[in-house]
Amino acid sequence: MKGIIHCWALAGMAFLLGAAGQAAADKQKVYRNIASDHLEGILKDLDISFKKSTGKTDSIVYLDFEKGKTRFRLHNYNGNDLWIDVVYPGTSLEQVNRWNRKTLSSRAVLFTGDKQTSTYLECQLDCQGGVTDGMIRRFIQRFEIDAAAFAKFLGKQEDK
Amino acid sequence: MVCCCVLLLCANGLVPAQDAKDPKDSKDARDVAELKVHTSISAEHLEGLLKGMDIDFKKTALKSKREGHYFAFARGKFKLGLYDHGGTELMVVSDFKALPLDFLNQWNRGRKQSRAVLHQGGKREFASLESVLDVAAGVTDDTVRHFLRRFEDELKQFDKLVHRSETREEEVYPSLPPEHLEKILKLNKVAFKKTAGRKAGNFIYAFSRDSYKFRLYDFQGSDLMIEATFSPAKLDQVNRYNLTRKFVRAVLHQPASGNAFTTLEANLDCTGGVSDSIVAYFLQTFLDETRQFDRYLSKLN
Repeated sequence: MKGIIHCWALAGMAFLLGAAGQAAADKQKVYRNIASDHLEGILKDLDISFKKSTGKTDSIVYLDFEKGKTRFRLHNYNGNDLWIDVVYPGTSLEQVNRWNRKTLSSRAVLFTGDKQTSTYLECQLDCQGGVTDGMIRRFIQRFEIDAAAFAKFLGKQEDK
Repeated sequence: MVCCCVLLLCANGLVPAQDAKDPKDSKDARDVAELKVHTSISAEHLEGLLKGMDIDFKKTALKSKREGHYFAFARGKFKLGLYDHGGTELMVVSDFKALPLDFLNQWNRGRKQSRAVLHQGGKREFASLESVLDVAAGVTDDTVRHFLRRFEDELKQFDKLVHRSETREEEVYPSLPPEHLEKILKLNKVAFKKTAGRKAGNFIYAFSRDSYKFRLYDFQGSDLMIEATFSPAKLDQVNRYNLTRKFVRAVLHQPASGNAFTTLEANLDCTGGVSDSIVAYFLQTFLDETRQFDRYLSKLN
């Protein structure tokens, strides 16, 4: 009898170990278009106060917010894709590329305008393939971390 | 502009002429007005109507065999086009991305004024909502205004329905174990070669598609990064590409030993929760991005 119980216990453990290797999934809503009020709701849930404005057309919505001294702009392009960026002073293309080599989620670009050169740290989320609320929250929060790291990175580069 | 007749109309519809010979005598006199009925509308008259509705439009001549004009304008977040076919027929349209035929059919079954159509065979597949006003049958200025306003209302309803159809419940995973990722790759007919990364739990999946070689990095199931390698480009060329594209990152690598090369990269953060379809879309769109980047580099050389 003890042997049978032992066998069942081993089988149970094997099942649990096997299950641990599986990702625990749950049913969630997957959106392929993010309405502005939905996005605004997520920002409110994250305790982010924002200022809303529109772009060339009403379908382009900008949500501006600040964290510390950093100004973020979250763009919603007709619900199809989200774009978040922070503008920094101009730097060299080498530095921009160095950041892009080491980063995972964001990218830096150098923008040379008529009057001044700026560096943009930006990240985009393609909603057309499907996004969850968690993905959007993570997209914003991770970018905030990246922006802080990028500011440090630029500071260090300037010190050299 | 051809004005064929003058009718007496009331706000609720047509009033028989004999019943309204002297509208002043009627207690509903204030609701009755003489309105011109057109069987053809000139472009100038249409422009006036649009301006009267505070519509800023861009007018172009129709390139098709039919004579007429096209008026492009925006209403809220929607882009609309108004086709004026020789002044005798007006068609208002608004485009959407391609939608399933059964969805469009479901809309068309319950509608009187507008119809939803899938356009295939051209450079891109897309859907549109459209409505036609037969001017030749006789219309007033109010008919045209009502036609446009009603279409705008229908457009909002259609858009809401599209949004609802785009949201569905799926199995969402907070992280992707290698077995699950491999299952998605196999389902998408990706034949890969798997190697372990330097850090425990990291894996690299190498595979080919359309003569391109890809490496998919799995960072402990929480992050996916896909890259394709190309010949080197100048830093300003790499930066210019990043300025014009979304969702990807072009990077120049100049190792101390070995040749310089460029990579195109994209990431998917899985910790917010991802479904199989999201991962599949990530892989598929990167293939399209790779083709684009390849074309960009080819033009430089």
